[in-house]
Amino acid sequence: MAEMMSNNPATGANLDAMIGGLGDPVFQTQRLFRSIMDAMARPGTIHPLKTDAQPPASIYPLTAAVLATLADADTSVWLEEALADNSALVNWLTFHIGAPFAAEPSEASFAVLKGGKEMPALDGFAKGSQDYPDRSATLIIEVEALSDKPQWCLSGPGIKDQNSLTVSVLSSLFVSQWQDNHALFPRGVDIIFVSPDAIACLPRTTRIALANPNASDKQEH
Amino acid sequence: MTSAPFSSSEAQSGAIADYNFAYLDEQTKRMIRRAILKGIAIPGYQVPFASREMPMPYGWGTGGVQVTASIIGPDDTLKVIDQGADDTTNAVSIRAFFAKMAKVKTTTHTGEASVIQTRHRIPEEQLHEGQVIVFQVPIPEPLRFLEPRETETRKMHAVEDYGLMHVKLYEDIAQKGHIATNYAYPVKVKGRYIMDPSPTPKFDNPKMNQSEALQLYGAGREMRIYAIPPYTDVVSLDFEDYPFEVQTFEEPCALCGGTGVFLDEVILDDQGGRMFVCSDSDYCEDRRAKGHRGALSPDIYESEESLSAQISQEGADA
Ligand SMILES: [Zn+2]
Repeated sequence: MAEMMSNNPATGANLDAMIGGLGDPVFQTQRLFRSIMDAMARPGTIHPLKTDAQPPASIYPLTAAVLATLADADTSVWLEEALADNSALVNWLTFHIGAPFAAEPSEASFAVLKGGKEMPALDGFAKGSQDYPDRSATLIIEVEALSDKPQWCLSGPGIKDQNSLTVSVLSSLFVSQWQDNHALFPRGVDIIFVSPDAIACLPRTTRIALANPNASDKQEH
Repeated sequence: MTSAPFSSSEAQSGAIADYNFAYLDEQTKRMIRRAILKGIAIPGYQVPFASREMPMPYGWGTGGVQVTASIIGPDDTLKVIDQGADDTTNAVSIRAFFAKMAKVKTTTHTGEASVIQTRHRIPEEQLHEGQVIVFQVPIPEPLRFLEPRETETRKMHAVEDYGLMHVKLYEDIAQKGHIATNYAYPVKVKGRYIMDPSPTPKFDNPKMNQSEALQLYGAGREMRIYAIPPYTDVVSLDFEDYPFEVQTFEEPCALCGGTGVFLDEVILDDQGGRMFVCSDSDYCEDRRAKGHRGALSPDIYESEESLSAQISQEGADA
């Protein structure tokens, strides 16, 4: 990855990296941010979002747009291995976002990873300190789909009674990892789930309870 | 970044064409936006941020203005209040600033606003889901007057050591028979962080609890941002034998007859004449528009114009 970063993105070799940025970025990132803010303030609510970003196909356009809204030269970004090995993606992110890449997950302000069975454990990311719990990672996790079917019952700040959320697909270990993360409060990581067309957030304050198993059985079919 | 402040005359002459949407450059907005998200994720915790110079002096709400500038967009409708009133110099200037710099619609009606920037009050009308209220905060650290060292207060928050605060409140009780703090009355957020609600009257503290709206707090000089998500427990500190109580007023509003609202004293003449009227001017006007009348309302008192002129004068001086 270091090799890729040393390439000058303005040279012809990286021309592909220069196209596909966010159109009208001032207004688009404002709109994206308001949705992210609302999603973080009301955990588990699903916010449909559109973007004209055209990153290399290895990530969703919406993932790239969320990252472009929040990350810049002042924040380090960690990409999961398969993404970090993708030079087209690394060049695109370097040109359009300009964030330094973190070598270790624990050093990153933002991490981009794919959900799914093989998802890296939450424990590896920066959780902040007791004095500065804000110095913690925000994980941008790509998932196939978000729905309000009751796989999880969410409660905590930002939630009136309960919100239900289904995130397809996550590691079977995710919920227990999240309980550990939640228990660290005020330390902990926060999550922005990104599907191809929507986002939902889990700040560290949110409790996840598994909804009745029959409900989740049904949605498997 | 373009940090050079401009005078209001420059703004009026159209020099703003050189400035970014909502004044702040994009890198600054991103930095503030990141701080807001962490603030929401850690309710009541003060997130440090690199405050920028704004084209207005500290004390004019530069922290609140930076927060508003970082969240606001063309679809928003902005309301700005200062001590409950929409028409003080401070409120009018900030509203004009955003109307010009962000081309947003503005309103004085609480119910119509998507973003409300406030100095020292929470509107009487209940805020609803989707609204954001941005507080201008002079001193964000509730422990500061007990412990001047930032390293120490940070440690106290880290280990949840709030004994000093309770001692201070209890000393009040010992000396005065009650907790004497009426403004910036400390609250505990989500059972964890003690937080300064900015110098709002403690009358407004119960409105912070389980609010449907998102509450954001910006302290420009002290460079802190903090937040309370909607539907979050916010408890005013008290003791079992001395429970928290809000201010109460003996008379209703002299103009609209409203009760259970926060009233300001207005001097009527130099003979000691005075009356109490709603601090929330929009609330009061709305009630009068609906036909409610107080003891000194215009049907009884001769001229509404002279009276409201007098009230806004009082507000501007406050
Ligand atoms: Zn009134």
